Amino acid sequence: MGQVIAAALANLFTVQNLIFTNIGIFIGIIFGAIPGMNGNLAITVLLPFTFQMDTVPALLMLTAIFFGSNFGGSISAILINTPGTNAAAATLIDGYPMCKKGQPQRALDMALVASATGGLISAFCLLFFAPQISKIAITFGSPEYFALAIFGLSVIASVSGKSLVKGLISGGLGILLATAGIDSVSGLTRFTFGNLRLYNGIKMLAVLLGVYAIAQMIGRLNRTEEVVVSELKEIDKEDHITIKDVKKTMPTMLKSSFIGAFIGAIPGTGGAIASFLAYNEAKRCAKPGEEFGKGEIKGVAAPESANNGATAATLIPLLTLGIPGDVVAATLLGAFTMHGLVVGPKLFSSSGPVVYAVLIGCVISQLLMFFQGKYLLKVFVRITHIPQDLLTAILVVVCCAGAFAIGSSEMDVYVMLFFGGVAYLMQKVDFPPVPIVLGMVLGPTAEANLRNSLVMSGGSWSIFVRRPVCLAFIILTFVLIVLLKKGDTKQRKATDRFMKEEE
Amino acid sequence: MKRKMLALAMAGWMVFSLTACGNGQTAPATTAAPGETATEKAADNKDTGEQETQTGEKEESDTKEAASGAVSADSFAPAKDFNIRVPFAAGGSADTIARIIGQGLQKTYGKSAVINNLTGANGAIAATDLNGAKADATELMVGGIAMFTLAPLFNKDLNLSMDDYQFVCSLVSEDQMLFVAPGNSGIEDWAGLEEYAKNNRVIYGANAPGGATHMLQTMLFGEAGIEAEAVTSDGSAKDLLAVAGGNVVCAAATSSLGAQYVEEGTLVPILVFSEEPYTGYEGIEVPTAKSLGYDVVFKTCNFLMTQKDTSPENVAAIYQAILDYSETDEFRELAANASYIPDLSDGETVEKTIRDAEAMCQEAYDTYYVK
Repeated sequence: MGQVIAAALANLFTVQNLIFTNIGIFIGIIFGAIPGMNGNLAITVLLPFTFQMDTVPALLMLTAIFFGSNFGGSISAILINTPGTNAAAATLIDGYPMCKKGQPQRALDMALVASATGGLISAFCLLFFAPQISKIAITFGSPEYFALAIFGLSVIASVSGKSLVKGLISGGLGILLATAGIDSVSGLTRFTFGNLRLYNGIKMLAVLLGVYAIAQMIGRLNRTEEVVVSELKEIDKEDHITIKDVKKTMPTMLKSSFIGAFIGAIPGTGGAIASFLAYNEAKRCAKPGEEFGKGEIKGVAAPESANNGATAATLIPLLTLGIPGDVVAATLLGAFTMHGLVVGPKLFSSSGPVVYAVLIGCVISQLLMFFQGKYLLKVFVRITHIPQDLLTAILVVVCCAGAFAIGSSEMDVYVMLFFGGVAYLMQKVDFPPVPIVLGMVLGPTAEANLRNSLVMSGGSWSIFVRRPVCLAFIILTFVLIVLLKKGDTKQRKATDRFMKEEE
Repeated sequence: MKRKMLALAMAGWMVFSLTACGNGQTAPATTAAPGETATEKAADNKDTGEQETQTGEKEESDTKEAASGAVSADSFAPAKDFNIRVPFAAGGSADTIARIIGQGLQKTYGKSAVINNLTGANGAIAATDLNGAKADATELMVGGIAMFTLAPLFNKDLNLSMDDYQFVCSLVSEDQMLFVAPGNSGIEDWAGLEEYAKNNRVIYGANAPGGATHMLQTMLFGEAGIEAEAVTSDGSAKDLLAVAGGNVVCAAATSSLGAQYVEEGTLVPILVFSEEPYTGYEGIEVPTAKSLGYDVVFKTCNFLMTQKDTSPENVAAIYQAILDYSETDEFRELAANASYIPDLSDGETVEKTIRDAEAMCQEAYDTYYVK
């Protein structure tokens, strides 16, 4: 083992690796920050170039893109209320209100610190506990996935705003939208209307761009955002993160990072689910005076440490079991394969020095991301200085191009525009947009696994209480909903008291 | 003013990043210098003119060469870059193989080979894109056997017909086999599975109806009179994991996918859906389903195809180029790294393989799915 690590370190510490990791982080942050673009796209574009490179720098660059893009997604979420990636959808709930309060730099700094913390914890989990975690992942069958999805859907309760019923309706719409396409259990098509482009279903990212970016642009056309514009320009002079902020959010970051690492290690989940669960947990533990949804710094720290916490952990099932946990991992699988690394149970014994070099490199990537982010954010925060008319015009172009880029199809642009209109109307009648995202992410997992579970049990629902992990998730779901309800009332009372005392 | 300039610079930069990224699922196989495109296009147009004359002059000799089976790769001079459509996501095995082959075409002809991942609708989206392109040997697509055999049966909107295409060659073909986990179910061979099935319903891992592993197991259990039901997933790797984790009793997958599990001893292959027994795993001879009394034979096959009207001589030249490239050290190294065992049979063989599979899929569909 010692020899393997020594060989890995020798493979790792080269100037070439340092340069390519930095390039990867930079590309990742940029791709993550542009709405519609994401890490997977960047990795796909660069994949052919890496075939000519040495194994370690190639894999370090590609994994660095993955990490960078997950952080980059938060930049547009915070600054322009449009998540750059699916995983950043939870960040904007508190990130954008912080920006509106004149604290864009503080929110971005928090996102960076949280992302780096989450990334580091995730990378350490990957380095030290990959085989153990994969043993847990292997026990996950359809019933466990179903219970996990229901657990995730319970988050709707905490992101519904004033009306739970409206939140549930939004969530239901998300689940319904996700049913379009070829049904993964029966193989039959649903809601495709004979259109080949709909066979793959409605693209999540296109809906996301519509619901956030386009609905917002339509709002701006109506000039209802004038107030926001004037607020945005008055940036707080004290707009930066403080040691006090870091101390205050540290427990939230650590907890969220572990939630992220756990969720990331389960194939078929990913950063989006992790960030919502972490947000939910942070909100549940809210202290008096902390107003989630209105620019609470913990509301940025939690989802950001969770979505980066899920990144390196996504590589656990890929490397140890050969199962790509999400779409990025599937693309990375191609890179590993082309470099002669046969992922699976024997990877660590057959290619130890290279694999450990990449894994230790993952830890270092997080630190490099932190330093690069520190300087890049100063540039990004200037987006808030762009005149709103110009920014709106640029964003519409960027979003249309981004939507087209999802699947090289104009269909996704229409989907984005359509849902932009729908979301605008929904916002007019106070329907929250976040549950749509949750429904779309978790609906298909819940549905397919419910049906598969019932196949396994011969139609008996008792399968969900007979399996311990599954039962644990179901109990957790109920407990959380009750606590959240209680906490909500308590927090509201406490906040009222706090406000009175302040006065 | 300074702010405005900065805003414009930012906007320009963002738009530039966009244009630089270009098409979402498209990954360029080579680095083309920015600004090269326009010049290249002009040159391309010129090339096309030259190409037509060249083709005219060469036509006779090419046909002769093709007839004698010895067409040389350089008898085709592509006028533009290769566009290889891959109906599978980047990173998968078919995508990796397409990239290796693309590399070969690029080396041979000096034109870039762009891999265009157009996923969805069982290859119909990529095929539609191919149909929309000009009939030319540079317009290619990697196809899978299911797109002409199973997909049209299960989704009537997908009216893909193999008569509309010309097959360059096969790229890879693999045997499908049935795996069990003795550690979980106690089943070690087919007889064990039959015994188990006497008292239990067999839950197997497969892709959704319309996929090969679902059909093979439906046919097998149907012929054997075993009561069985599928737990579906979106990939055979996940099905094998479900077998290893004890969530399903068995699953079908390709021999390469099961290799590590078999070596580790977690999974055991109990039969192979081929004509010959499988001896690729050390110390194990996997019996055929046929030898056990069930006539279910199927090979997963990926191939390279182009439009029907493409000049057969040019298609033959490309095939030769791929064969030549497969003899190089570079190819061997890339293939070895990617655990790719090439099967580069000619277009006719591909066509025959698909026709055979088509008949079997139709029979399976009529017998087991229509009911």
